Order: sequence, then C-alpha cells, then structure tokens
Amino acid sequence: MNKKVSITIQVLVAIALGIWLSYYFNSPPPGEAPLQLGGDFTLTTADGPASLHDFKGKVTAIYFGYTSCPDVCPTALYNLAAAINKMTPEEQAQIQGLFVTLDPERDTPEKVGEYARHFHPGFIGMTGTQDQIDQVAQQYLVIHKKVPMPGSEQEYAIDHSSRVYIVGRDGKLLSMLPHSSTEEDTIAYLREALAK
Amino acid sequence: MNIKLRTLLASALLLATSPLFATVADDIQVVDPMIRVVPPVVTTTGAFMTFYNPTDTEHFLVGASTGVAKKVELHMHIHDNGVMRMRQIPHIHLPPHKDKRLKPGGLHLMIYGLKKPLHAGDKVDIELEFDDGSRKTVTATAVKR
Ligand SMILES: [Cu+2]
Repeated sequence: MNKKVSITIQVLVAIALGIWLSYYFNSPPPGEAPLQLGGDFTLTTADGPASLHDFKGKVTAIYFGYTSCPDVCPTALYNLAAAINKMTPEEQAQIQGLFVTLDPERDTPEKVGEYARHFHPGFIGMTGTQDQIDQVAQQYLVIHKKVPMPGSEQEYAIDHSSRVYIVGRDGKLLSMLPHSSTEEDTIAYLREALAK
Repeated sequence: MNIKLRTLLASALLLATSPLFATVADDIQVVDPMIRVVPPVVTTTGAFMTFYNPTDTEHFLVGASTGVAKKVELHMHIHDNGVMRMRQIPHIHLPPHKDKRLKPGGLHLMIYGLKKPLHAGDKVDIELEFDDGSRKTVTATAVKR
C-alpha cells in the first residue's frame, strides 16, 4: 500500500470514529428526544412483571440508576419527587415514576421497590436479568459501565447517564431531562407531557 | 518574682499562643456539614460541607471517619457528557484563601456501612483528618434531599 492511500484510510477512520463518538456521547438537548429512542419493555418489580405499556394513559418519568449510588441517583430522585409533589393532586394522579436499576446483580426486586418508594410512595422500582437491563438501556441510550473500585469499600461502581426520561400517555418518549434540571424544569416538561 | 523568671513565663505564654503551634485542623473552617438521608434498604450515603482555608499555605483533607458507619472515603464525580463517573481520591485539595465546596454530583465524603438508618434532622459527628495528621470533629445534619 502506498503512503497516500494509507494516510487517506487513516483520515477516513478518524472521521468515522469522530462521527461515532459524537453520536455516542452527545446527548440531545432536553425536549428533543430522537424518534427512534425509547419504546416498551417488560421488567420485574416486587409485585411481579411490569411493562411500560401497563401505564398507558399516564405520563411516566423513568430514571436509570442503582441503589448503592450514594449521590447522583438520590439527587435526581429527590428532585423528581419534589417536582411531582409540587403539582396538583389531579396532575400527580396521572404521573407514574419508575426507577430502573442498572445493577441487577445487587438490586433485587424487593430492594429496588423499597428504594424507589423512599423517594415517593408511588414510585415503582424495576430490575431484571443483565440482558434485559442492557436491552432497555440501549433503547433509551443510557450509557452504563461497571467500574471496579480497587481499595474502596465498594467493589464496583457504575458509571451511568443521569437523566429523567419523560414518556407520554401513548408510550412514546417525549423528553430527556439532563441531571442539571431544576424542579421547575421538571415540572414544565411533565406539564407539557400531560397536555399532550 | 525575679526578672529572669518573668521573662521565661512571658516567652512561654507567647509560644503557646503563637501560630507556630496551630494545627491545620485549627485553621481550616468547615461550614454547613450535612449528610444525606437514604432509603433504609441501602447503607451507603454521602456527606457534604464547605471548607475554607484562611492560611497562606495549601492544605489537604486526607481522610474522615464516623461512629455511625463502617468507613468513610473521599470521592469525586467526573461529569462526562451526561455520564457520571464516581472515583475514589486520595485527598481533597484546600487551596489558600479559597472555599472548597463538597456537593452532590461533585466532591463528597462517601460513607459505607451505615449502622442504622438516618432520619432528617439527625446529628452525625464526622472526624476529619488533615495533612499534618491533625483532626477535627464536625457535626453534620441529616437532610432528605
Ligand atoms: Cu462516592
């Protein structure tokens, strides 16, 4: 292979990698979830299997995390619960909060259930097999990676995207709220979803 | 009292109150320490506070412990395009004449093995250790947020 061709290939590979990386890491702005994202799934709760379509007619707010997450997950879930609690009882009755664990190895259905209910009595915790969780995470473009923590009390942590996904009454993904969203942002997006 | 003795006493007093004897723990100010209430089903939580280093020298928080849990570690988060990556770190840098804020999603004290569930308003003593080996205890308030 001559030098020119090899450089061209290197450039092409670099461009392809760049496109792939930007696709992989750029989260769309809130409120503009790409159409192909989201969709139905069935996982396990403390009361047996549950699917996203079970909540049809309601607006669902989904958060992906793990129970031994000390900091990021509680921040997001306290914020979501506080936002919902500030809405009217009629609005609240039409919103379902779901917590999906990214750590099925440690998080049993009972554990995720209790965890979710701590933040809001109406929240439902969901777990599944690793394959099921990976599948749902992929549908919603949730990046998650188990990271060993040598020397720490915790054997591993899970790097993960921290967003609230708002799904409309028809089961379609409407918006993805970044971790930095305020209570007011969350209320605004929930109201927008309720109005649809 | 003779003059010699009086001078000796005076210099002893001066030495005892001199800044040469102040430890890092004496110097560093800690504001608003809090510990997060987590679901009773989990035993890991985080503690947050703001440090102020009023001295001309940089200092480091090198460790922490508490009677209410098995272990306390120093941690940070790296925000990488919406992905939160938590890592253990050896120390927290306290630059001269600056605030250093520990807060959710950033630097935090990671607390493992809570011996019993916390409730909002509980007071929890946390012992902080600095680079010169000096220690100080702060009382964190348990918050549900
Ligand atoms: Cu941590």
